[in-house]
Amino acid sequence: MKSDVDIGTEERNWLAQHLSGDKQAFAKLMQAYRKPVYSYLLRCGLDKNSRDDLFQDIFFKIHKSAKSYKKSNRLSPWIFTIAINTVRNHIRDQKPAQNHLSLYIDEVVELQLVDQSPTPEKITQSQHMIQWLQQAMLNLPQAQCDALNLTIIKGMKLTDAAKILNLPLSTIKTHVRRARQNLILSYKISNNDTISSRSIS
Amino acid sequence: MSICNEIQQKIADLTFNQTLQDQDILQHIETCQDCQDYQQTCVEINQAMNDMSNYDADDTLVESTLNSIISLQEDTPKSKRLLNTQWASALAASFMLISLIILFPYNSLSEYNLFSSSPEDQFESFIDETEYEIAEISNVQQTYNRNESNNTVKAQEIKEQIKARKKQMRYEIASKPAKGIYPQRGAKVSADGYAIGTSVSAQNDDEELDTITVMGSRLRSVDLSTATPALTIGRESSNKDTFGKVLGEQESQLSSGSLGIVSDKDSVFFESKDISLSINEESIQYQPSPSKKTLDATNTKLSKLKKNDTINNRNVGFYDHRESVSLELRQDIKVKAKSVRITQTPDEKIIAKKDTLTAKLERSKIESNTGNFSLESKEKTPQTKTLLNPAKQYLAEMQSLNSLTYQSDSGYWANTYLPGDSHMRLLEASLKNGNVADISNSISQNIQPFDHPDNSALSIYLNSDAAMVQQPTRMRLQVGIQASNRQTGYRQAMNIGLVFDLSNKTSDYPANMKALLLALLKSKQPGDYISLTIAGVAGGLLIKPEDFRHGPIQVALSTLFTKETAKVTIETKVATKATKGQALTLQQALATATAQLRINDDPSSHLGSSVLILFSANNIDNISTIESLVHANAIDGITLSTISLAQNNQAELTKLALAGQGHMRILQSANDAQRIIDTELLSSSRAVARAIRLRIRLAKGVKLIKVIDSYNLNHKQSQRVRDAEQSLDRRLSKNLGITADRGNDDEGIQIVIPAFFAGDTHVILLDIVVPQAGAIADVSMRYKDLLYLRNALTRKQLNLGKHTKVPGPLQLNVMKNVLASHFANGIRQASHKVRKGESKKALTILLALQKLYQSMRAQHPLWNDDIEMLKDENLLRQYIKQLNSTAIQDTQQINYIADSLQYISWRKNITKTQ
Repeated sequence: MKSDVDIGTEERNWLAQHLSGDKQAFAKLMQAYRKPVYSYLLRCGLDKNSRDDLFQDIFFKIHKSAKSYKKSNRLSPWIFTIAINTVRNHIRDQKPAQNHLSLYIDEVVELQLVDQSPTPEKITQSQHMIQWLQQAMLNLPQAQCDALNLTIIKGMKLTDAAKILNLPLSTIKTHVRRARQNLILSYKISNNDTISSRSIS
Repeated sequence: MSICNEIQQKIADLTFNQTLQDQDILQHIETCQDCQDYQQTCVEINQAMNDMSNYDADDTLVESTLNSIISLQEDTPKSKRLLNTQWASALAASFMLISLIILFPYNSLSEYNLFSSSPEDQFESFIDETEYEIAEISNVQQTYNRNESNNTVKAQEIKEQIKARKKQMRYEIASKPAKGIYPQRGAKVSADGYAIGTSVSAQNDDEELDTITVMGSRLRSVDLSTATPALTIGRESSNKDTFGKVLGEQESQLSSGSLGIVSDKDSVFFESKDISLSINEESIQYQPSPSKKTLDATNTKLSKLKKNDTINNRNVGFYDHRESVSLELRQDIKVKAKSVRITQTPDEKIIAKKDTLTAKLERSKIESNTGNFSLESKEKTPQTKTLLNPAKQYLAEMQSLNSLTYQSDSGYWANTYLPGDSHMRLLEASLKNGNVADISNSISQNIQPFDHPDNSALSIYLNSDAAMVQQPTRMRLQVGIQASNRQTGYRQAMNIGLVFDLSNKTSDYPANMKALLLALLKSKQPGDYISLTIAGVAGGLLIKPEDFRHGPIQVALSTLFTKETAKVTIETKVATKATKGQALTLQQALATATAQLRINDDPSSHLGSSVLILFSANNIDNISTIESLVHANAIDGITLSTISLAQNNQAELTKLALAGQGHMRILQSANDAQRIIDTELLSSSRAVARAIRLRIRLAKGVKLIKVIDSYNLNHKQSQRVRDAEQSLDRRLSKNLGITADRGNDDEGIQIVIPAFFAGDTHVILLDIVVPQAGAIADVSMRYKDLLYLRNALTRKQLNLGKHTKVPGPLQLNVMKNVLASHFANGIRQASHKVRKGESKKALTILLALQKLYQSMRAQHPLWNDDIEMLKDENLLRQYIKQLNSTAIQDTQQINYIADSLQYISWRKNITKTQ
């Protein structure tokens, strides 16, 4: 069985091997990083279609930029730099829809108040938690969300995250701490909301 | 910090696999319920995060991705370089060089036919090349009639032929018509490429075979004897008014201001937007001299010109129609060449021709039967006979150093970046419903030559309209701010206190209220707190944050409104319900809502997350007290936005929104509610920078005349700006961890901009006097970068040398921005005049602006075809036409014109409506 060090050394050669025509090399890379990349996309709060698109996009970019990878650096931060930039571009493109101003409309439509949110009973507790977490992470400031997201990845060091995000290490630590605190706080609030709504109904 | 907070921080730092080891902490947790809950929450979140890490992509997705990449890899050709490209290039170059060195001493080059096998082919190849160049320049189809020779021509002859051809082609390029101008048979261009028509001088006859038809549809040939007089211009001898003044008075009679011929019985001149500078805005002397068959020797400057002089635009004259003067104007926008040919009767054979009138119209040629000679006139026209060019007059005023008053170059100045003017948004919406084309598309802010910043939220640009300083110079200093296109992201949880002022009995209230509440419910996200407080009727805090759900809302609404809303007044409905307590005044309602907000105000949430929204159709009583309350709240981070339901209270609500650092919006119907709520909730995510502090420090000796469109704030206003800035600073420090760094005033001119939105551009213009070359200004901009969550500082300095330098595109851009500001102010004045019913005065303002634009465009080649200036000019032309028409008696139409002018004046300086 190979140790982590061996894997770390071996994975640095995958892209070079891929460029030289080894078909297995990129398959190995994908196998190793499919889960971290996909779960990262999940934590970014993206819907399934976007996740799948971005997943493909990220690996295409890895393929295209393979020449720029230097063996002296670790592969994981390099891949997640690509991933984070791809996600950022995607989020930037998703600008809030501009509603058109429509004034001078005499007709007033009769409005009905309908609660469109799903009832908590319909979803299992764990799924609910994950869904809530996805939504809550979306509500975090982008910098905090990025920092927390990267540090969760197995094997990703804080220094790597700092390098990827181009921020000082202390700032990353602060962002992660604040992100966690915000999540806990909003979880408590949402729990209170659920309790109060149950008591009303 | 309490022990619980300390422990909770440690708990928050724990990751999935980590546990607390400290026994003291563990003991505390066992006894403290709050910390236990906190730890439990933390564990659940960590567990969920860990679960999320186990999510994996579908095998099919991975497989398809992998297959695509492998197929891509296979498809990519492997280019095996046998030789490095740089080495190959160097080798080839060396080979060529050596070959030339060897061949040159023996003069053996002629033995090698470098072009083609025959001289004719050589010629062909050259022509082909030239054709390509022409096509690139003018994109005009051309025909050639070449003299072809079957004989073998010697190399020297070919060279001469090519040279002659080249020369000819150059002229042809210069006189190429613009795109869209179609070839016209029957008219020819001589070998020098300029003369048009049959009256080409004899010396060119032998080259007629080589001419190209380039006449365009824009060519006008007017026989003056048949020309219909359209305008009466008095003779200079009988009318002391200047030509331009007369024209100015009569200009309203012109149909469109485009190319046209205007004549009277004794004189003729042409008026064109392209060359009007040369005609109606310069010193043109005219005395009819029917007896003379040549150009007037005594009254036109043409007669004073000598050989080798170059005439300028002032010498484009007009001629007596009784001499059967034909006048032709040809303009070629594409190649920036204009030519004017004025021909008298053929027997006189006096041909005056002006070619290659550049936009400055500084150079021209005059051609007569005595031969070609270029002329130059440097003499100045006597003041008494000079008609002042509007552009020159404007520029002279801008550079004048006489009777100037200077201001202090320190203190706070008003912010001019105000993208969220609700009145303008309302105007825009109402104009869109008008019958005319969408005005908002016809007007736009000038596009600035600023790059979007890549690694920061904002960037700063510093330019002036002068390129050098050789003596005390008055100039405009431009500080440009460009925001990044990136947006900060999604909106965060908000704490909203709604206050409905129900003291007025408006029938729209139920529908509008319902619509707003529905919109809020729809946009509500986890973590949002929304409460509803009622003013004017009994009820007070009607819906608490935890009750803001569809059930309680329905119940609350039913307590206030029944289905017979239109018939039953609020009082009667309230009286029938069991709503207890005294009715709150607006001030009390706001205080109640604020208190409620403070309970849930989360210090870790982002700025603007705690917001009061006042919804009212009434006049606000006791506004000064409410304003103080609102301002105090804003300093504490609770902003106030207002939504107006009526026309009568908009000014008051705007005042409150300004004091509360929020927005004022206008709800016209229930259908607009969702848009308003979305805009309000998302407003904070569009800002890329906050608390922008711009400091402009002028160099020693540089004096400030004014900050264009801004004003110096008094002590009270400055204090408010300081308070607002420090409040933002504290809040951002608390929420986003951006270190607080404000509190002290800077030296120089200070402008504080509360927020700057993604993609926006703004320019601040200063009118200054610079005594000498050297440092002019030092500008720094500090701001809270919301993209990178940091304090940012950008700094630029401007230095100008004393060496002669022609103003380049950057200087022209500043001039254009100053002109745009002048345009906006002029349009605003015209709007006021129209609203007052003084259409003639408005017309005068617009005509002056139009003239100024025309002459400014003629002032510089880069402006001649400037799309933005043409667009503005076109807009002016449309309004002039509208105001000239007699059918604007209708009050609605007058208001429409006034509104649209007001909107245009605002829109010219703002990137877009927010």
